[in-house]
Amino acid sequence: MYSPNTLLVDSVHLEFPGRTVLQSAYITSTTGRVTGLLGRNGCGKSSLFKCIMGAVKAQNIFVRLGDERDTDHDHIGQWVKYLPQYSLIPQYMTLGEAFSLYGVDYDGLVTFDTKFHPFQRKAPSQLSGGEVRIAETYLILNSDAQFCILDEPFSFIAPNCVEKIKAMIREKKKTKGIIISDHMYEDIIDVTDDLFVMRDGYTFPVKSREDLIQNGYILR
Amino acid sequence: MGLLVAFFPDSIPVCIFLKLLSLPVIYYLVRSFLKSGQIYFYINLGLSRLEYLLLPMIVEFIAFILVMIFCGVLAHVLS
Repeated sequence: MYSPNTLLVDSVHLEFPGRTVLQSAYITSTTGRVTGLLGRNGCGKSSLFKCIMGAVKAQNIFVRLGDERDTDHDHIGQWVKYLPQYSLIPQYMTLGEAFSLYGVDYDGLVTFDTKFHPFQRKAPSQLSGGEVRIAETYLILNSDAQFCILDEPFSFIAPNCVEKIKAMIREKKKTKGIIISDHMYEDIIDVTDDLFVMRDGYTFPVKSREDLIQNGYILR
Repeated sequence: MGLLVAFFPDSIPVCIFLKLLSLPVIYYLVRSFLKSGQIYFYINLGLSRLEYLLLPMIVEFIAFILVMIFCGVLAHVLS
């Protein structure tokens, strides 16, 4: 069993009838660093993440963990955990059960925010969207995976909780590689070490605010 | 079921009835398994996409075997 410290995803090509979503998309993650991915609505960020996790079958994709020649992409969940844009925990499962399956201590969530103390036996349908989002983000970041992909983790979250989640990301990146995407781009820029923007199915590195303007992500 | 029908053609209606009972179960399992986000919960646990999609069929098959066994035992008790 190896301990990869890099996740390399390259040459991702995804197309549907009448539309090419991704063309040779690329992204990488390294333990100890946070990689941000920005892009306009519908540009393919979530599609890229879904291809990495194997839920959507790309026409072509190259995934490598560490220095291994053959990465078991079909069972990538052993090393990479994904927080999807929408609900993660099944509606029929309580938060406590989900945490138990992922091997994450629920008491840690209560320490993070004491309001979760009475929610251990509640299902996602009994909580607000923001409360579920916080619990799911905590679950993914505190799992034993080497890499985490967070797709819009700040959605439905109050500003004070956004700051707490950003602090948790800075803490967890010491032992994990994290890829994060959200439309709250200033919060993303604040917490990332490497930044990419997606446009026309390709990913481009971002070094400055001008790169975001040039790629049409922000106006000024 | 095919072998049963081949050797005991009279069992066709019973087999069809038993299989029909499993249709709502399969429908419910497939609908619930394909709900958005849920697949990622299980992929994160190490399942592949194929294994996740096969789960409803496996569950249905095991349930069908159990129903067949139950019916066989019941028929034996009543006879």
